[in-house]
Amino acid sequence: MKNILTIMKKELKRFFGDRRMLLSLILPGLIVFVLYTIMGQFIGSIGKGDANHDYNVYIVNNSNDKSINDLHEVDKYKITINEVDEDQIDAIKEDIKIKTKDLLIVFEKDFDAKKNNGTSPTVDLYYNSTNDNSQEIYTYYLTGLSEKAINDIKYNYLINGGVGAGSTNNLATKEDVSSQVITMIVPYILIIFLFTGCMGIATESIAGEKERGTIATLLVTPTKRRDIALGKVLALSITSVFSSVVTFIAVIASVPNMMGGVSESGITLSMYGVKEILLILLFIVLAVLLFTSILTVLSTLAKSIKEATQYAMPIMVITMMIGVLSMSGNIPTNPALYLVPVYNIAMGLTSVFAGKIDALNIILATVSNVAYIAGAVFALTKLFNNEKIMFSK
Amino acid sequence: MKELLVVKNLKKTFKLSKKQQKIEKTTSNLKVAVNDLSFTAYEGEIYGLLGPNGAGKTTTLRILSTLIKADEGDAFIDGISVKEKPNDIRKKIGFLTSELKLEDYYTPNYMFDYFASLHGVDEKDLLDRKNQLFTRFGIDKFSEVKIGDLSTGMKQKVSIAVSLVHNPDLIIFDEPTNGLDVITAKTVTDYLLELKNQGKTIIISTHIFSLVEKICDRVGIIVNGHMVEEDYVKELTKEKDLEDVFFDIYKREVGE
Ligand SMILES: Nc1ncnc2c1ncn2[C@@H]1O[C@H](COP(=O)(O)OP(=O)(O)OP(=O)(O)O)[C@@H](O)[C@H]1O
Ligand SMILES: [Mg+2]
Repeated sequence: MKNILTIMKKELKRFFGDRRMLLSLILPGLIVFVLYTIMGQFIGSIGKGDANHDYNVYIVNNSNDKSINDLHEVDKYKITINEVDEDQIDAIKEDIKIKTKDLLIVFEKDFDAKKNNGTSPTVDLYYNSTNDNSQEIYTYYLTGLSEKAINDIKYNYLINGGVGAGSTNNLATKEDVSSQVITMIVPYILIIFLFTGCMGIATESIAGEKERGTIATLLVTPTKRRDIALGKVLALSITSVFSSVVTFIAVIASVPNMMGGVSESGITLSMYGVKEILLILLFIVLAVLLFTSILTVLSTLAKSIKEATQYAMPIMVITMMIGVLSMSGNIPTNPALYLVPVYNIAMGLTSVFAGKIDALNIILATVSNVAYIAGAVFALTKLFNNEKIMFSK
Repeated sequence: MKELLVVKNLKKTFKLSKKQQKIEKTTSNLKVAVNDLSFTAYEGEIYGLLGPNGAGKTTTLRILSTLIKADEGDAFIDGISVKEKPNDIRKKIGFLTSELKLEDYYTPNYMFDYFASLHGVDEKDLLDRKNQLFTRFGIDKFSEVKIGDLSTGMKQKVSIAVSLVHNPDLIIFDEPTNGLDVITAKTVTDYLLELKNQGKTIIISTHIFSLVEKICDRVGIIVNGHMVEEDYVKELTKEKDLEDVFFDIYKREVGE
């Protein structure tokens, strides 16, 4: 019994006495809090329309019911009502599909009469879930009409043909739905995997050689420090790119399986062509080179693999947070933001997956990343020349 | 006699971390590891740096092999400044210490080729050199075995072979027999004498008196980073053995 206590006390002293150790115990909790807070904010913004948007709502066989018509007059939204004939339905549906119109409401013929004599007429709302404005105004009308039907016996009608049948009223194309889902999750997963992949091998590299005492053997040869740095970073990058491309293929291949349940029609990748694939590969290569060179710098600063991993932790947290930002699927229009490291990769990937490629932003992201990578390699060269770093006791 | 290595007034001070201050039992955050150290080694001789733990031997040899830079002073190998032209120096020297290790994953054969390539040794010389060194140390028997699977003695032999791939004029060897059994140690010391007979210059550091007596032509005694005595081993040990001579000097210097 006494021995149990003695051993336990010694172990606890190790866990709670060491400041770094303590930090590593608290860190996961902090990360979860920050990540979920950011994530919550962005997930909340999905399906929210633009402020000041002029919602164009098309109505067939409009009802004369005052209470229903009151729905069009609301402070929150600026709604323009267009009454149209039945023969225009198909054309308007097409426009909703391509996101130029927001909502189509089709009341059954003689809606008011049927409602009043209790034969349950139908009202159908057509919208596009991949268009945030359409989604928002749809939700508004659906809620408004449903509330009346639930609260007042007089409003006895079937919305969207009854419960469960509503999905056919969503006019979003399979491609748009797929693109929305993929944009939300793939860049995030990709960035996390790319980082952890690089972290595994890059933190080990120089710190491991220092720990094992093999780096000095290299430093006494007449090899330029820059050549050593580049040789190491390139080898690590090639390894990471190889593993990343495998990861990427696996992620993409698993998306239809994983997300199959999200939309009944399933997930398609048909909207992506050679251009998208090449751009994604470009961003993967940039990300790997950036992560590898930064992590190699940290690995060089560290005395041991363990220390290198500790140095990499904050970078990992920041990368994860930036990855989470990409989950909203929103991409910034301000070109300056494409100069922010890691963020520009996340946004670049997001824009490609969302089909909103902007040449200038992609060029900015590429050029700035090349500059950051060059900077890291330069720093690495400097560190290799620094005896305090290489031979600290 | 040609002066192959001239060391002039080397000084090296380390900044100590809090932890190091505790270890060194000092309140000063500076440690003078090498203090105004000068000596000369002639071509074709074995020169021994003898000193107790912490005397500054390793620091001196690291400066000579361009791994670290002196704060003051300079050293010249064949007239080339260590400070000004470290890359030229690296071509001229072979540096060896038990701290310099080869990566476990590779074979002796691969490592030899790798370092030969980094030293710019050409194909033909490489094969000759490898043949000669691998036969000399019996490495050919395990040249395709991963270094991680070799014994300490075998590793040391491979390290020696690898650090000499470019046939350097000056061989710097920190604690050549450290951690080796008597048989491997003898192989190493025999080889050092062989190199000397080939006309190479060798600098070794050690705290082992018998090693100095056995192989060194001249010896420099370092205490607290400073050269306190430098002479031919034969001259120094005319009346007493080296151990007694060392303690006389040590008492004189440290006053204990
Ligand atoms: N990188 C460093 N940072 C701080 N102090 C150092 C560093 N390298 C060496 N020292 C200190 O400088 C002094 C000389 O060290 P050095 O390793 O040169 O001695 P040495 O003669 O090789 O000793 P040993 O016989 O133990 O190998 C020691 O006090 C050592 O603690
Ligand atoms: Mg030493």
